Amino acid sequence: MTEQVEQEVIRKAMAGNTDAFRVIVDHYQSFAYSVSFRFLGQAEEAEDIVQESFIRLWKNMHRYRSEVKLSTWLYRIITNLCLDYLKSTYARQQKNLKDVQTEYMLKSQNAADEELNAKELNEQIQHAAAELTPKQKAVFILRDLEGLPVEEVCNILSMSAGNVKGNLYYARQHVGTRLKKYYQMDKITIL
Amino acid sequence: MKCKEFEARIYLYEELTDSEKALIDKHRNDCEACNKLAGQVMQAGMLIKTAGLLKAEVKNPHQLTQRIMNSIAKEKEMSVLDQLVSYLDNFFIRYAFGVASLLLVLFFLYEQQSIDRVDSVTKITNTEVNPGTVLDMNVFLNHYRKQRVKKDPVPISKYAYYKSVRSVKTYNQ
Repeated sequence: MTEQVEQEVIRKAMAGNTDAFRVIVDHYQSFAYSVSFRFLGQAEEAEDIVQESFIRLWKNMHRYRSEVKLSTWLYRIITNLCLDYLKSTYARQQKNLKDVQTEYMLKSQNAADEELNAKELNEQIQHAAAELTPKQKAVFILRDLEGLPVEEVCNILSMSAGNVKGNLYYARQHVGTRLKKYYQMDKITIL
Repeated sequence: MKCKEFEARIYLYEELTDSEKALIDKHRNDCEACNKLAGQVMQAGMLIKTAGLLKAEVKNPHQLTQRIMNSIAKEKEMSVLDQLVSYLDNFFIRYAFGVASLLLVLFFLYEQQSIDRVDSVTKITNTEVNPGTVLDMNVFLNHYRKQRVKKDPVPISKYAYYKSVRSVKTYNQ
């Protein structure tokens, strides 16, 4: 979807056109699911978050300003919902770290062993990220896994750059230590 | 600057300015331990970036879209109701309703003063009517009849008194 078409669709959705909003849902659904799955690691919860995010987007569509990208806005809604969820389940999650599901799929059809390695890597990162605090996890996911610039992460999380960097430091240190332990001796070729 | 102070900067290498990066690079050449740590951090960063390329996919995207659109349709219906209710969210209308309900209560109390009060209906239902029996209306009516006989007549209101005096005067004239 080009930017011009997207703006036109958004304009219609802002006027209450549900067909236009369906186009937005179709376009951003996989992105929204991927982000919420990174946060929660559970397919059902991630789908619920996606649903709730789009409902919130619909309710607040009239507040949309074209200066902000719709994806940034959606990132903020999803992140806030996921953080609320994580905060409410943080203690419980710490006890059940072993139950983290991994349902990642490779977008490109790679060879089976590569896919297996990637799944294994994802599993390790998912486990390591599950041990972080909700804020550290959010910063780590948005900056390192989603690859967003620091300014956008600050904007999404309403945090200062110093705060983001502080959380990022602890998150990278923790995940790095975990990866080092796992890959250090037997799979040194990957490093 | 000591190695300990470089550690945080090594982890945040990508976020540093060019001059800060140059400072780290220079220190790496001089310090074996920091150089090793920087190498490990870089390798871990590459692994994380690889993991970032993988995206979880929805099992049934059409079903999820439909679920979302159904909830939005419900929200839309709700928002019409909300709009109707929002008219009440006006100070003038709110106070007008408040005053009207107060007047109604006062009117009701005034009316009650001129009506015979029957306050022991529960007694009748509890004592005289058994469940399963056919209701006899006389059971109720006799009770009211007895009360009406027992009660003193209601004192005449000032308005009725003046009206009657005026009508007598008019008749006499």
